[in-house]
Amino acid sequence: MFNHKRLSLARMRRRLTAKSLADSSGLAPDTISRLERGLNIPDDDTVEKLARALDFPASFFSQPDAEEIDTGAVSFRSFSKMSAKERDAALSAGSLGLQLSAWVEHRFSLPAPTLIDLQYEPDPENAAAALRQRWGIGEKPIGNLIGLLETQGVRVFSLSENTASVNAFSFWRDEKPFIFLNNFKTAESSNYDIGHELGHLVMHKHGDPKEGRSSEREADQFASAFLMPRSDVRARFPNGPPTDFIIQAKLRWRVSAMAMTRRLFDVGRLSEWQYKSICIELSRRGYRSSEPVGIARETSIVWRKVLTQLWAERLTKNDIARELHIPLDELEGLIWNLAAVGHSPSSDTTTTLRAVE
Amino acid sequence: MERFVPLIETKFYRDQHDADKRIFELGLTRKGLNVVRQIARHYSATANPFFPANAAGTFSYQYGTWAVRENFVGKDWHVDRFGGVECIRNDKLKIRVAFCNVDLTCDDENSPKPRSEKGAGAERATQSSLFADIPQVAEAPAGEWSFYYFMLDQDGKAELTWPIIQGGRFAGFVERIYLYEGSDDEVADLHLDDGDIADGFDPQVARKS
Repeated sequence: MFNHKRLSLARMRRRLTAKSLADSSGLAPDTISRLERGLNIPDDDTVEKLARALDFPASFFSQPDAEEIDTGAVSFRSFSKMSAKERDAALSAGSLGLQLSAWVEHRFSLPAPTLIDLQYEPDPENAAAALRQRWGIGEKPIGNLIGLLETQGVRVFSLSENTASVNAFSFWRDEKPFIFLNNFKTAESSNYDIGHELGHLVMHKHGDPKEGRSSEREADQFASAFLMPRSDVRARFPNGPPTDFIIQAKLRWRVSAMAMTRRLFDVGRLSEWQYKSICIELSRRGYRSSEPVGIARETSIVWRKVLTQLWAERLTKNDIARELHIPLDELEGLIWNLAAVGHSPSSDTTTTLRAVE
Repeated sequence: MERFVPLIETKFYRDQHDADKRIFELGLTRKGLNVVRQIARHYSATANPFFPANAAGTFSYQYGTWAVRENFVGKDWHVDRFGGVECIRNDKLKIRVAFCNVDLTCDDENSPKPRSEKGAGAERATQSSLFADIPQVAEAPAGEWSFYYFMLDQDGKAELTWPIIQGGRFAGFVERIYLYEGSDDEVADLHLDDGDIADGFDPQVARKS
């Protein structure tokens, strides 16, 4: 039985309009429209044309409804900068991610969520300190943020959106926290995005994340305080540190030079004038849009363990994609940059180095 | 009749403690001098390719001079233009301080050179006569006034130095106080890499039967 909602999902995921899908599939625009509204039942030939144009398996369109993600319940950073097409594509990836998550949790036990509800805490600084206390990490900088969140039960997925306007989004589903993270930006930006989404998950659990700029500001403040605890930063910086110090020091907290500079201003180590002048200096050195002295991107421990176990059972990513009826590129998009493992069992052979004479 | 000029060895203040002590004796503060550095660096960095080619140095000089006055003029320090050199003056300590851009600072092996030629006024201000041209040694200044330059180089390093100016350049140095060297040693002092990091997380993943 053809599921018209899945046609809309696949089309949005591919960032196509009904018109452009009609063009690429050789079907009439009206046909696409009627199919998506569930007014027509397509024949096998039409389904094949749609599958080819969308590069989704034909079997994808005959599965039950995919779990939808309500835009109102999702926190998007840079929401205003995002086009509807970008937003829908990201949400469609989220929907496929939920399918993948359900598939994995059917086969594996994952850590139970240990996040606390901090929506009644008005100060993001206090909220960050409370969560750190709950997780027993004190004031230390976090060496592997994704590993920490996974240990505390957050489900982390990757987004492969190839656009800087989609940062990350998060939501709760069945009492489980989800974060979808776009890896298009620098590793430092991704870390900040994770902190920001974590702020939404604990401070705005039951609110509409888009209800105002204040919640975005709170999530930013939470990220800053969570990643760079006040006492640790103050203890390791003199007053008015020069730009070169900041560029060295930000490696400890695994944040961008700009985020480090802002934090130094917030904790009173930089005057307003110094803050502004260092921002200008950092921009001049290219730190506004990138991170010339950067850190390695973090990877997911959960996904590495899951894939390793599945490979041991001779189950490849192709098999998982087939079972989920989704294209392999979509599966890899959800886990690729997080898992950072690309070998199939068959290619997992040992290579011996020999001296060349 | 042959003229003999006594020479003195340049006095270096490299260590922060010694430098701070000397800065205090000169009626100045490290914090204030650091602000001068920051301001000059900032305005230098505002020069973009649409400005004239010398804008970075000009901005640095203009705002560096302003910052010297902004930070120190008050009870003891006064605005001065001795011999046409824009500076500040402390009548009690008989010290003048001006700002200048140089090519390199805080380097024992290489003496700073002004990025623009110093004029006759500056030469008179630093109490020079015509003979000293030996590195690390300078003519003993003749007058009772001393004249220091806050010297800022292109890398942002800075020193407070009393030069002897001769023929538009620094012919020797009476004193060199290293203010900000921007070296890796200072970064290490921040104890950024003491291994005290929350790491090694191991989320438990178990295959369901």
